[in-house]
Amino acid sequence: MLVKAHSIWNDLAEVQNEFDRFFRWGYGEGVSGYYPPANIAENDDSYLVEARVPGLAKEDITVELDGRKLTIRGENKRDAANYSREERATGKFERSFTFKHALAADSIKAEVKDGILTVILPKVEESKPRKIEIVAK
Amino acid sequence: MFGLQKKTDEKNPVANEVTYLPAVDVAETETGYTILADVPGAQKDSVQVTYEEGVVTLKAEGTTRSENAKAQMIHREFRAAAYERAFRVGEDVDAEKISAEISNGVLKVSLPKRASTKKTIAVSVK
Repeated sequence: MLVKAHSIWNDLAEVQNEFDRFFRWGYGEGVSGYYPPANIAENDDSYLVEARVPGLAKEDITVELDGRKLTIRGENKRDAANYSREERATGKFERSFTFKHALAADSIKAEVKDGILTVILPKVEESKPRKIEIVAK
Repeated sequence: MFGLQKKTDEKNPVANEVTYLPAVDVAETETGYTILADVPGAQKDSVQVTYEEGVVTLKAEGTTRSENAKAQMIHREFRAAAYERAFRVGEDVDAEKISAEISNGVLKVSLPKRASTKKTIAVSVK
């Protein structure tokens, strides 16, 4: 396959792609060995988790919170056809993240759009950083 | 760091970003070929499929919220990047009828084959 390589960054991204593909081989049945790449951002109020889940719709993904542990589960399916090239991930995946701060379980929001899952996890009020007034005597 | 710097090319803004080679599935049926490419974060407007001299090129731009949010990135495994991949297709593809659709971050390109040119020629005995 021919592709234009623009810079060293592209080459590195390609190397990463190849590694990902390689390490997806040879896992047992039921486990694909694949897990979706995720980004996590944090501010004073909340965490933002984003995962790449191309091809998955709302009903294909479950998001679960247990204390401070967020678990994302899903399954990539491939339609039966005569394939000459099969690079896209298939099979079940599961991924968990444990956060430093206590989370407000009731106000967590998750959405999936254009193959990206976004989960916003607000921190509980008590665990947010706060300024302590110094009392002068 | 380490003397590595991103090259900037003003004529081609995509070149300033990381370009992913999207993972693809390619399937063949009697009537044509189908390419499925993972382009999470890309929308209809940011996707471009072109055909030129027997090469089909898929291009897409992904976006992420974590990079735009007013928040500190504490863990990063992917970027809002451009996707690009090209495929050389055979003479049997009808370039006029190539179509593409995108759904849930997967780009599907359909490449129908030309109506069969196969003919059975009757042999007559003289």
